[in-house]
Amino acid sequence: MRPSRKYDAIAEHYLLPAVLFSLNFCLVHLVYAFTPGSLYPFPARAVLAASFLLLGASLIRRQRLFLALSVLFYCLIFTVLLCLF
Amino acid sequence: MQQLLWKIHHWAGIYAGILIGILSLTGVLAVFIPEIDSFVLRYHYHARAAPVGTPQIGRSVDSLIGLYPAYRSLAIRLPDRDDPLAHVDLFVSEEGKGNFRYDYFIDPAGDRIIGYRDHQKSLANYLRQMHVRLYEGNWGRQLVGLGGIALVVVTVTGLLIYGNFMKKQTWPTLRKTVNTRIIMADWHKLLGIAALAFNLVIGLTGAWLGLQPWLVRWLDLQAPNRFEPAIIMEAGADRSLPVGWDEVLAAVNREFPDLRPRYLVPSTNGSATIAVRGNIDGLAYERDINTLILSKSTYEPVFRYDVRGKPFSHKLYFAQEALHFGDFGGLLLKLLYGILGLISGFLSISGFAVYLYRRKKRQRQASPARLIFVYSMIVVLFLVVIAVISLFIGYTQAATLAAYLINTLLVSLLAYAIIRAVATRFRKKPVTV
Repeated sequence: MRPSRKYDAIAEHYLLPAVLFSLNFCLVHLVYAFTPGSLYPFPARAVLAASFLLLGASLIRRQRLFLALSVLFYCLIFTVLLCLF
Repeated sequence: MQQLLWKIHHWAGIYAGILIGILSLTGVLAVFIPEIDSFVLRYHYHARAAPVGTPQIGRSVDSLIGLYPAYRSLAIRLPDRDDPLAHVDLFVSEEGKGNFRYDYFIDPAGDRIIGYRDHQKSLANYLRQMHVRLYEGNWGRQLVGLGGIALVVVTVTGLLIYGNFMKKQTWPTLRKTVNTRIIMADWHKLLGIAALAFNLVIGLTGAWLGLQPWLVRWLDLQAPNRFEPAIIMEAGADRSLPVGWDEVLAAVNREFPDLRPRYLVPSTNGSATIAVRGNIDGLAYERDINTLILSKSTYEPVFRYDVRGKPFSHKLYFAQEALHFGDFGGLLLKLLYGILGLISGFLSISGFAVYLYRRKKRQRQASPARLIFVYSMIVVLFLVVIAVISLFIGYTQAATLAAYLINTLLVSLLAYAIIRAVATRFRKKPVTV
């Protein structure tokens, strides 16, 4: 029998909502980036897509560091794209 | 602290939940207004046209000006991706009848008028007015703004009490039970936290858009692209000045090449200008904010507003409506907004269900499912009755009925809240032995 994973309250109560919050923004951002006529060049779209995948993967893995880093990575990408375009 | 946050979430949800539910439902429809209107024009009015390069509209516009020489204002909407027709939006005062707003459709390939409608009675107008002001003309818009604030309050408090309510439960696990209250509570938490950012953005932008008339007055704000050209002639003379629409479009291409013009508005106040409003592709701002104002006599620019070169405050001001209606990422983004909007509506219903089932456990009252069904049917009936009156009788009659219903409901709700609060305060405490 597989041992059940210990419940991580920090990850479940704080980091996971932060990931879902970022994922909301990232999904809308991604759709906007891939809309015909979007100002984003290919590298920006690729980084945004990677950020979306990271957020999604962190939601599955549920490790504190992974969850926090995926949120930070998207925040960084969001800020840079907001400044550039 | 957790208890206080829960109480705020609970009371804001109870008193504003029905408003949030109505706004979510009408909002989902409002997101698709251009698509719905295009469908109505094509299949109800049989107004169809093939896409064209440069629209030909001069002869049709001149004939409408001949038909309504004393028009109050006129705006030409050029064809775009959503709608291949050109439109002339005319405000006219007819003696003894009142003011009217007509929407004439022009085939831009053949420069001919192919139909018209009373804008006030259109489905597009109903959908917009119902979402923007609940059809209540006095302060419905501000009421919707307060609904936006309530949505922000329930979203933020919901986030803050989330951990306490999840305890050892993991997202997105649903507890295996037949208890409807627990099922509803689990779905409420699961979807509430998943659509948190969306609800926060919708709440904040909705509050800003709804309370804008008050905020503009209190903070002495003006639309950043506002420009009042100097008056140089009599209003009547200005109205009768001929305009070469091809020259206007050529001037736009020359002076503001990135502008995709959508509206051409000739002045009627004596400034002898033509305002050209439109969009720049790829930007996530409110529609038709970029402006070029041309002289009617020389077609030289008098004023130009390009949001790209403006400060952050201008961009923030104009991002609100686009963010609220999801109008910056094509149909796919609108579909995403539609789904998330339905989730907001579900949160309002599931929150109410949790409240009712908990109350039933304590007080043995009527079936919560029946109560939710009755409330939902009352809301749908209100929306349908106002729609029927607005589409087939008139906007004024629909707005009058909506004003009576909404204000009566609001006064009753406030009176109930006050009586309940007073009763709770002065209720005798049970004698303890």
